[in-house]
Amino acid sequence: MKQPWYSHILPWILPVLLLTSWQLLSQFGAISARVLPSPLAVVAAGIRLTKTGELPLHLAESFQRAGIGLVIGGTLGFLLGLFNGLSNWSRSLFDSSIQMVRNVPHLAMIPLVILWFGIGESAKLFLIVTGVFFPIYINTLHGIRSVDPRLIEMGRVYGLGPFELFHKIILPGAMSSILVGLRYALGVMWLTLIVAETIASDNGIGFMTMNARDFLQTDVVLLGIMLYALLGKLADSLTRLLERWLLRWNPIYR
Amino acid sequence: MITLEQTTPVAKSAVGETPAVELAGIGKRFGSKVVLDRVNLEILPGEMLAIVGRSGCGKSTLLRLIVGLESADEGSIRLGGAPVRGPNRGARLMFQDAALLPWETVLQNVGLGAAPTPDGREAAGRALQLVGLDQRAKDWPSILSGGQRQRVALARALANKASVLLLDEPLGALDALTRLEMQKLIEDIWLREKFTAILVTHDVEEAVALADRTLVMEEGRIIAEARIDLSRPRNRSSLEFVTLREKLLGWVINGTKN
Repeated sequence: MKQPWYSHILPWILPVLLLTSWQLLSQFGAISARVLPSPLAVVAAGIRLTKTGELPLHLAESFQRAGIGLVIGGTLGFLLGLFNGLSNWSRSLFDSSIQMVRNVPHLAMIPLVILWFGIGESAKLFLIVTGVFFPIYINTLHGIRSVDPRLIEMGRVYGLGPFELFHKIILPGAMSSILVGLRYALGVMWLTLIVAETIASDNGIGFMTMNARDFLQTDVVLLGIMLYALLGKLADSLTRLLERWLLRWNPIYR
Repeated sequence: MITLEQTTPVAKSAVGETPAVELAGIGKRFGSKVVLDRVNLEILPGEMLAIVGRSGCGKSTLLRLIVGLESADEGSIRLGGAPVRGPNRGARLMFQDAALLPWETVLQNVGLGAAPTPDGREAAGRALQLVGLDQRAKDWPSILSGGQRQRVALARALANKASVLLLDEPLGALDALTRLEMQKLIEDIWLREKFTAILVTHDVEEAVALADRTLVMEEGRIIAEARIDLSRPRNRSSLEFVTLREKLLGWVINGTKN
């Protein structure tokens, strides 16, 4: 199926229109620079902070934090989802407790987390870990539970052992659901990162924006917000690429 | 049980030959429902046996027991003389839906039936050639038609030299024309490879067209047996064929009482 030529341009029309009108309104003084600096001013702030080395430093800190949290929480969620999906015994033991804890918004734990860990790095990591754990856990479990039982039966008839059954049938069968979990987890990850870095931190993009607010640098605040939007979009695009590759057998993803 | 022999009984090949499949007093219950009621059955090596019957008569369960997906409550099953305990490589089951792995290519799917060795891969390639789909080796199953998928499933079942091939209504979901083509393909391959086969079907014509012997099942018991000694390929409009078909159909529908 050939897509019409404009299908690549269509998604960009609205953002470009918005940015242009914003720039024009700021330029002609319709919006005060104190309230909303122009897009070009935000870009200038980005360039300025890159030159001073501040922006790369904060970005690196945020990335590291998000990455470590995602790896720990994601691995835990994946493994528990796996065990509970494969073993009825394990599911009866853990699942209802996990579902109970899941209903507590993880950001509601902030006061407790600060009491437990103080305001250091471990508090922020803990929040990200709990944030990404649940979506990955739930979707891994769901994916494994919904693998077509006839395929598993077929595998048994064809003499596949438990390991082969897992990596040839169960894991690929659960993959689309696991990736949905990952995409959702990435969203939660950025959200948690922002909140965690705004509360108490001395580095990261969240800190940068909060700090800029104290000095009334609206352009830097906006830069921070824009960065979150960009990073979120970037993470989402990367998982889409991953989907296109891992699920290339599925006509929906081609 | 009614036994129908059209001609003089074929001298059952040499007394003492080990049957390819041997069921002795097989019983199976699901809860209080008796699915199989002390079924006895012997199939000779190289024989094509068809089992017909209404849905729920226990014919599919019989295959699931032979392949080891379920275990019998009583009796014993032997494949080539060896007792069946759990899933085994001695028998291959072809399902009504092809049950191909959508995330593996056609050739990889066929390879599932073979050993993961160079020899096995070669066997997979040959099996794919046998069903005439070697051109589609690298395709995903999702772009194949229903008939092509069943051919891939057939190739997968043939890739490893299993002693017995079990076909569980393999053509039930196909349109009439594709079904005729598939029947011819199965017959051709069977004539060439001479494996033992059990074909479970609700299509009496299919049974008469393909099998050396057809059993009729009802409520977990074999109620009739007919030997089919028509020459191959069978002429579906010949008098013998039609008579046999009608006779079997009558048994499937009304039982053997009247």
